[in-house]
Amino acid sequence: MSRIIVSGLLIFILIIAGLAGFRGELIALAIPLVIYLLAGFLWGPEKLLLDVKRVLSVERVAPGDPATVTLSIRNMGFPLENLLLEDTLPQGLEIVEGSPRRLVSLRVDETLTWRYTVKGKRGYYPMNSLRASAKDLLGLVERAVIIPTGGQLFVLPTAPRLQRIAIRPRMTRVYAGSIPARIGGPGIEFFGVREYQPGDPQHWINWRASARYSNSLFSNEFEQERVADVGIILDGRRNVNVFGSGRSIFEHSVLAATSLADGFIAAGNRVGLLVYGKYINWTYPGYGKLQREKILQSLARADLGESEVFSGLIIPRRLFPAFSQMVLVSPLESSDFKGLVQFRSAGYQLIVVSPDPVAYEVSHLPRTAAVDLAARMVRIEREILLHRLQRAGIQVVNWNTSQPFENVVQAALSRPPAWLRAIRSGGGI
Amino acid sequence: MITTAGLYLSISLSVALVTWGFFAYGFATQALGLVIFGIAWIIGQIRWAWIASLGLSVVTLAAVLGIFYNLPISLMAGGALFAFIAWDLAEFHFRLKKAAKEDYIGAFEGRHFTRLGFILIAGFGVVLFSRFFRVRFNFEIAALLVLAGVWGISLLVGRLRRSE
Repeated sequence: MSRIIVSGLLIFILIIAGLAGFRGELIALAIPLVIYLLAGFLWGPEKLLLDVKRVLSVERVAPGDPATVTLSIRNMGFPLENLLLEDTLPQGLEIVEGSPRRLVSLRVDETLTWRYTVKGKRGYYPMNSLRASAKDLLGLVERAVIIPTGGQLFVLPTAPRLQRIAIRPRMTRVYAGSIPARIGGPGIEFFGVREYQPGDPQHWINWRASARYSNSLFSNEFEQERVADVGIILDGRRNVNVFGSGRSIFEHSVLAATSLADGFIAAGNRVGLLVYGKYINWTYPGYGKLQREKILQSLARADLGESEVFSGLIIPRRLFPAFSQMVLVSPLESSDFKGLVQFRSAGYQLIVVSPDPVAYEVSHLPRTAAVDLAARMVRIEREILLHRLQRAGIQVVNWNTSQPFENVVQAALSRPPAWLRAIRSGGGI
Repeated sequence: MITTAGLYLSISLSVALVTWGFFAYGFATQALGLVIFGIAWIIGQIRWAWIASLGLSVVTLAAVLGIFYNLPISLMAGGALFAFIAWDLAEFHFRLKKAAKEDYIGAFEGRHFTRLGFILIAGFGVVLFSRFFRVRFNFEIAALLVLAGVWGISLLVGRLRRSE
C-alpha cells in the first residue's frame, strides 16, 4: 500500500477519533503526520530528465567470459537527491564485479558513470532499458521512469571444430567444394574411365585400359567436388529435451548443431539453420563467416518450446531444394519416425545426430534395479527406433553425451583424406 | 548502519511503550497481543516492506484505544511516535539496501535524519504551541474548521497520489 495512503488514513482516523471522543491528544498525534506529508510534498522530486548512454566492452562472448557494461547518466532536469538507478539485467546473466544498481544524488548537469561486469550462459541478452526512480528523502513521493538504452550481449555457444564431415547429397551446387558431386571431371577421387580428349594431362591417361585397344587412348575421370546445400534442424521441443527434475539435454544438442554448422561452413557449403522449438526460426542458407555469425546468433537465442512432432514441419523448397542434405539434431522420440521418413521420401538426404537421452538420464539417476530395468526397456525402444530409421535410408549418429562430440562424429561421419583412402584401398587409382 | 539500528530500536521502543501502558493498567491480554505483534514485526521487517505500514497502523490504533481507556498519554503518544519513526526508517532502510558498495550511504543517512528530526521538532512544536495558546471557537466554527481541514488533507493526499 502506498505510504501516502497509509499516512493519510491514519491522519483521518486520528482526527475523526479525536473529534468523536473530544480528545485533543488524538488530533495532536495527527500533526506530525500532517507535517510529514507536507514535507514529502514540498521536497518531492520533479520530473526526471536523464540522458543515459550504455557501452558494452564486447557484444559477443563465449559462455562464462566476462563483459563490462559502462553506463553514463547525465541529469538534464532538476536536482535529484535520492535517485535509484537499476539496470535491467536479463535473466541468465550473473554479476562478476560491481553492481547494476546505484543510489546517488545528482545535481543539475552532473554525470554519473559506473561499470559492472557480467558473465552468462549461452543466450541472447538484450540490455535495452534502465529504471530510474527518484524519491524525496522521506520516501513519500516517487517518480520512476524506464529509460530506453541501446545494447545487447550475445553469449555464443562454443563447440569443437569438426573436420571432413562426409556427406553425399544427391544434388550439389556449381561451386567447387569438398562434397563428392557424382559427376566426372577434375577432382581427386577416381570416378571412371573415358576416351582420351585433347587437353587431358598425360598423367590422367589410364595406360592399362589403353593397352587393351590399339587405336584409342583412355583417360581417368575424377569425381568433381562441389559445395552443397546443408540444412541443420535443431530440435528444441520441450517434451523430448527435458527430463526428470528439469534436466535438459538441449545444451548438448546446441553444441552439436554449432559444431556441425561450423564444420559445414568451413568446408565452403551453403548452410541454413532451423530451430524447431519455441517457434520455428529459420536462418536462411548462406556461405562464409557472415553466415556463421548469423547461425551462432540464432543458436544463442535457441530456446525450448512446445512444438509437437516433425510430421507438420514443411521445408520450403526454395531454401532447400530436393536432394540436398539435411542434418537433424534431436534426442528423438518414437513418434518422430513418420515425420523423418516423410523428409526422406521428399528426397532429402538425412543425417540424424541424436544425443542419447537414455544414457544422459541414467547418468543422473541412482543405480538401482528399477532404474536399470527401466533403462533397458527404453534403450531397447530407442534402438528399435534408430534401426528403423537406418532401414529407411537415414544415417543415424547416436551420441552418448559423456563422450566428446567430435570423437563420435569423427568416427561416424568422417571422410579420411584421399591419400589415406588410397592406402586403405590397396594402392593407386 | 545507523538506520538499521535506529529502525529496530524504534520498533522495540514503540511496542514496549504501548505494551507497558496496557500492562500497567491491567490489560494483560492486550499487552501480550502487542508483544507477539512486536516480535512478528521485528522478524517480518527483515523481508517484507509492507509490515512497517501494518506496524504503524496497529500501534497507532492501540495508542488511540489506550487514550480512550485513559492510559498514560506520554506512553501512548511515545509509542505512536516511535512507530512513526520506525515506519519512516523501514522505507529508508529498504531503499539503502539497494545501494551499491561504492555509494556513499553516510551522506544519505545524515540528510535523512536531519530532515526527520526537523519534521518531528516542527510537529511537536505545533503540538506544544497548541497546548499553551488556546482559542475557544464556538461549535459551528470548530466544525467548519474541521471540515476545511479534512477537505484540505484530502486534496493534498489526492494530489500526492496523482504525482506518484
